[in-house]
Amino acid sequence: MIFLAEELLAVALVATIGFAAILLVDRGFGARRGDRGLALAAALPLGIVVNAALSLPFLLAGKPPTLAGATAVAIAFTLAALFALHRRPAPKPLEMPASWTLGEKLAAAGIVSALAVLGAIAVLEPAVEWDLLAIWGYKAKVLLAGGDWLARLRDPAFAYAHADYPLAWPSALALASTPGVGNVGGGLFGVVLLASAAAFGAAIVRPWGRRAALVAAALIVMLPIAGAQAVHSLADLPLATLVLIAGGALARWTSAGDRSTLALGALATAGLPLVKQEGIALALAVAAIALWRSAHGTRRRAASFLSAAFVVIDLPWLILRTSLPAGAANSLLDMTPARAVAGLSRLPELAALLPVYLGASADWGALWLLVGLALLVLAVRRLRGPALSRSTTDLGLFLVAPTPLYLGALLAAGWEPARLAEVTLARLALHFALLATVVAVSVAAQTGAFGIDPSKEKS
Amino acid sequence: MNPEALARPAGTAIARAFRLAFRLTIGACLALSAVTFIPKILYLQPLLAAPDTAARGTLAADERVSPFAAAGQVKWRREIALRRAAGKDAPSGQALAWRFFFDHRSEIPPGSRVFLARANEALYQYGNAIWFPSRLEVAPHSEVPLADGEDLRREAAHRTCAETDWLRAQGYSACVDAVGAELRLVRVAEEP
Repeated sequence: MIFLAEELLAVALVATIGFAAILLVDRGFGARRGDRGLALAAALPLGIVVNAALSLPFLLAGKPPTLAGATAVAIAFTLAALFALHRRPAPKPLEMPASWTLGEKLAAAGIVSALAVLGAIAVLEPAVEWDLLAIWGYKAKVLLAGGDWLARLRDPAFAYAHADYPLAWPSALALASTPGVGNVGGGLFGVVLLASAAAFGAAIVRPWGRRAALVAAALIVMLPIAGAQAVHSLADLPLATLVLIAGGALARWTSAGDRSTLALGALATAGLPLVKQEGIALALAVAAIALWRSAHGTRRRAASFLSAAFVVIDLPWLILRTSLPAGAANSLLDMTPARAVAGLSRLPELAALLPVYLGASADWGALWLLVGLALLVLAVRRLRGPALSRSTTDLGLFLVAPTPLYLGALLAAGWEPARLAEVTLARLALHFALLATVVAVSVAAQTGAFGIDPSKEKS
Repeated sequence: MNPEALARPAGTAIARAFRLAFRLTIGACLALSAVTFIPKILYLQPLLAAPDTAARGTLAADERVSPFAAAGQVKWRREIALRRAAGKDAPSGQALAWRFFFDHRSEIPPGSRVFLARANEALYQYGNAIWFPSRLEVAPHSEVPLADGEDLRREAAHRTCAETDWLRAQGYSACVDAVGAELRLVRVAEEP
């Protein structure tokens, strides 16, 4: 029970840090009326990023992450946010929502129940997953032990733990873990992250009605591979959640010019390289689309937000990373264009494996069929109008833009395609899956798939 | 553009076809996800009935019991199903390894070095994670990056747990070996 209380406290502290940071950044960049719902949904994922960025100088000074330290940061950030918001204009008044139908109430209850089941399993299961133990949990223990943690990371005996993998997820896990020969926590982080992703996804499609929002949340929470990653505290789920936040927030910026969502999107984009090394490719693609799709005259502002977030969040880690040895096979350094071109002969085999792995209903339900349909409709409506909304088109672009980089990495990887698919394909696909769900529901809503929404009729 | 206007159902045959396709696919998505969720609900029962953390961890690491343990691994799931169909349902190696290191974690003095006589990737990585800050080694003072099982086998000292003089001379406090499917912890006795 003590362990559970510690983990709950760790989740609450990181979420508080994230929420206060969003409000501060919002205010710092002059946004007038941020969307509190989006900020709340993004609190934990962005808290993980901010916590890692703040922890790094302390780690370098020999101070391991502790709950007491996180409490002090959470209090300082909350006080600063309260002070900064003192003279802020009142937030947008909330619309009076129309009453919920029985079906909507049942759907919401189902989503909460599914999260409760996953939460119970996460609490009951100790850390057992191989990658969690060997990489993320091991690093959490190294950070928690303090001392010369960099020497431990560089130790060739632990090359399998990838010294150069980023530290955001281990920094969060360390707060939920017991020092010494203790267990590694994190299952609750995973399940609350899944809930955050569902809430954020629902908020992004909410303009299309409550039914669309509920369907998006249900699809995310019930996605089998996402539930497994949540329970096992793996790093792909936080990365996927940040991809969703970056794409969702920046699509609002490019379509509606909302400065607070630009700040949110810039923070999430900068967080990507701090969670997994694939995040570098994702951040580059997302930033490129955000700049391309920013409205005329606002591109410089988007560039300044994205650059500022990159310098503050990523640069210290990327500098430190140059002093760490590249880990095992398939490190970022191996992923060169020349190797990708040389690996083109592997394309047919990889292409044959894609439907096997992405079509596995035990992992995906029928998600990729739905996403394929949505992208088809998006393309058809783009060519033969009426076009879908600009925000949906931009969501689709944020989803599609990084895929050539991922394909290049798969071609450049040293492993045989069959082994590569078994070990990595589901994880890599998860990076896109949450944003893909939101794109699919957004497109479906605009074809009238959810009918005339009662909440739209009455509000 | 007004979201409500965009959400208004269009009347063309193609629009109706897309609408129907979306309804069917979303329904299939939710139904399939719900079906895969049932084993997770049922899995709560053995977890709740397990007497302690060791028993719960053994269930969680066992690909035959936990609906999460082989997530994303299509080939591995197929192999497990084939073995089960053929009546060759062997105990999970992953669960055995996790249980062994978890059960013996309090017997390893913090900061000590333990020799792993079987150069196995899973044993090496599980042991080093669960027994941290103690170290599990396949060779003393190796300076070669050990990234995977191949590296481990190449670098292994190829000694056994019976070679206590050598183990003691290298500063190991214990040795882990596998006898059949059973893992054993052998303490290296101090010299009298």
